[in-house]
Formats: sequence, structure tokens, C-alpha cells
Amino acid sequence: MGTTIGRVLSIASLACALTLIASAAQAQQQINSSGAICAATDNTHVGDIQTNTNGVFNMSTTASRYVTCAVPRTPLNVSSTNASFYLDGTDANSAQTTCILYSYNYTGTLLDSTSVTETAATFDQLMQIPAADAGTFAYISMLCLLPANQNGSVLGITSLP
Amino acid sequence: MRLSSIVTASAVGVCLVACVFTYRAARASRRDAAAPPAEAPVAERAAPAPADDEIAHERGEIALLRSEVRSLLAQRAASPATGAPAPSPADDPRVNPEARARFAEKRHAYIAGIESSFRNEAVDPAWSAQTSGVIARALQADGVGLTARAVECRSQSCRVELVDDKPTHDASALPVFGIQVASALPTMAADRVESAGGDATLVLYLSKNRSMRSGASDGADPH
Repeated sequence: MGTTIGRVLSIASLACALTLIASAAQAQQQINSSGAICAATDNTHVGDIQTNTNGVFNMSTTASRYVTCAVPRTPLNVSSTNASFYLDGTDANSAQTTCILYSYNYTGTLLDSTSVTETAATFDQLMQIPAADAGTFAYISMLCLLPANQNGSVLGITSLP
Repeated sequence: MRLSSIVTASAVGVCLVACVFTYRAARASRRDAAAPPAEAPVAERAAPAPADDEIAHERGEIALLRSEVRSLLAQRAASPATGAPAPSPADDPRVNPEARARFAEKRHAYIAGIESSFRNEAVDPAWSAQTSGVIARALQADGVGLTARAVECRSQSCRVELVDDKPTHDASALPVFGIQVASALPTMAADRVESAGGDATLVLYLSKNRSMRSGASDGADPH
């Protein structure tokens, strides 16, 4: 009796292991990057840009500032028609945050871009670049214009496979 | 993807429970085997043993599952840390001229499709004039300073030819231009064309319509 239960449980354990391995392989391809990955685009505005553990903010009390963010990614799934990204951020006091994703090929030539302008208190915005312009060897980066007085932020960006 | 994390966490829990039961069953089995046979109850001794072919079938299943686990683990070990397949050198345009030519050909076809769509687009004079103005102002905005050879807007997209003479370190002009026109023209595809004389022109196809580009939305919101 005990050995039969043991066999059944062995089969169940092995089946679980297969499920775990397969799901782990899939989950590895999404990359979540905090807004702390961003930096001031203009060297003269470095002092205005504050990167906290929860994102990037513009501390200037007078003007919007640009930040540039690397967007780590992995090659797209063969079935993907677009490279998809989710941009998370915040706005306050009727301010707006504008971000633009750029795709460059390995020689530095610009391929494509897509942009969003957000005014919502918190936003989670899908951004897509056609797969034709986001191939295995393309680099993605993002430029954002953050409003003054910490009235906008980039919390992070997620790359989907 | 958060759903898959929950599923994975649940699977881990189930596996842990299964492993605990397996371990306990195995220990009990070992204890039974080590115990003197005379102390076993009469009823248990009288219980019929599983048929040989049933045991053989279960062993076969276990062996098959073990080999699948080994195979999956081997595949994972052979893959890069990201789990994505490593590109083969034959498909790498950075090192293989043939792959580079294939990439250029595909890209050329893609841009030709966009150019054709643009040429077939009807002209809306009001939108065209208004959006051309947005582009003209953006080209001269602070931090941009780009020179356009031609600007042509139709009813939902524009074609802009730029002189591509900015050195690499001054490449922020174009990204800032993109931000300046983001509200009116949120998407852009670019094509760099070199003349025989070495001059380069950057042709931008800007559109107000995201769905005009290939690939409808296929991003399942993981949030």
C-alpha cells in the first residue's frame, strides 16, 4: 500500500517539476526595470534629477527636464508582431509626463519610435514598436520629459517577450 | 506575467507538499522493509500484491517523467541566463555579411510598405497645414535645431526628410524632436538613405495613428 502511494506521489512530484521548469523558462523573459535606471539627458541638469528607489523625479522648481532611460530587453518571441512595453508613472497638479521609446539597430541607426503623453495621477501605459524594428540586435531606450516640482515621475518600465 | 508567478508559487507549494509525502512514504516503506515480517497483521499479509504488469507500467511512467525532467534541465543549462535562444552566427548581421544583407532587404521591404501607404493616403489640407506647422516649430525648438529638406503631411501621417549630419555625440536632437511632436504624431519610423556622394538623408514617417503600423496590439497587460 505504502509503496503504491509512494509511486503515485513520485509521479506527481515529477509532473510538478516539469510544470515548474517550463513556467520558469517562460517567466525569465520579462524584464522589469525601475525608473532608477534613468539619468539626466543634459549634463547641466544632473542636479535637478533625483533617482529614488521608487523612480525618477525632476526636482527643478522652474522647468521640465529630460531623462534618458535604458530599456533592457530580450529577443522577442517568434510569434510577437510588436515589441511591447508597459510604462508606469505618476502625475500631480495637472502636470503631464511625455515619454518616447526609440529603437536603434546595432550600428546606431534610428529605426522607430513611439510616444505617450500622460496626465493621469498614476498610469500604466502600453507602448509598442513593430517587431520589424525591434529585432534581436536592436537596442531600445527611452526619453522622458518630466514636469517641474516632482509633479511627474517614471516609476519603471517592463519589457515583454 | 504576475499570474504566472502566482501559478509558479502555487506549483512550488504543491511540489513541496508532494515531496514531503513522497519522503514520508519512502521512509515508511523502508521501515516496513526493515521490520520483522512476523509482526505484520494477518489482514495486511493477506492483501494481494499489485500485479507485475501494473508495477512495470508505473515504473515506465516514472522513468519517462524523469527523462523529461533531465531533458528540460539540460535545455535550460544550455541556454543563456535569460532563457532566450542564443542567435546563431549565421543569423547575426553583426558578423555575417549575408545575414546583414537579409536584414537590409527585410527592412527595405518594410519601409517600402510604409512609403506606399503614405503615398496612397488622401490629403486633408487643414490637417496637413496644421501638422506641418507643428513639425516646423519642433525642428527649431531648443535642443533640436534640425534642417529639413522636405516636409509633406497628408491626412494622418507626414514624411520628413532631414539632413543627417549630426555627429553621434549630438544625437539628442532627434529624440527631443520626437518629444516635441509626440502629441500630434506619436509614432515614427526612420530610414537612413546614403547618396553616392556620401551625403546621408534621414527619412522619417510620422503618424498620428498607432494602428497604421504593422502589428496590432498584442501586449497582454500583466499589471
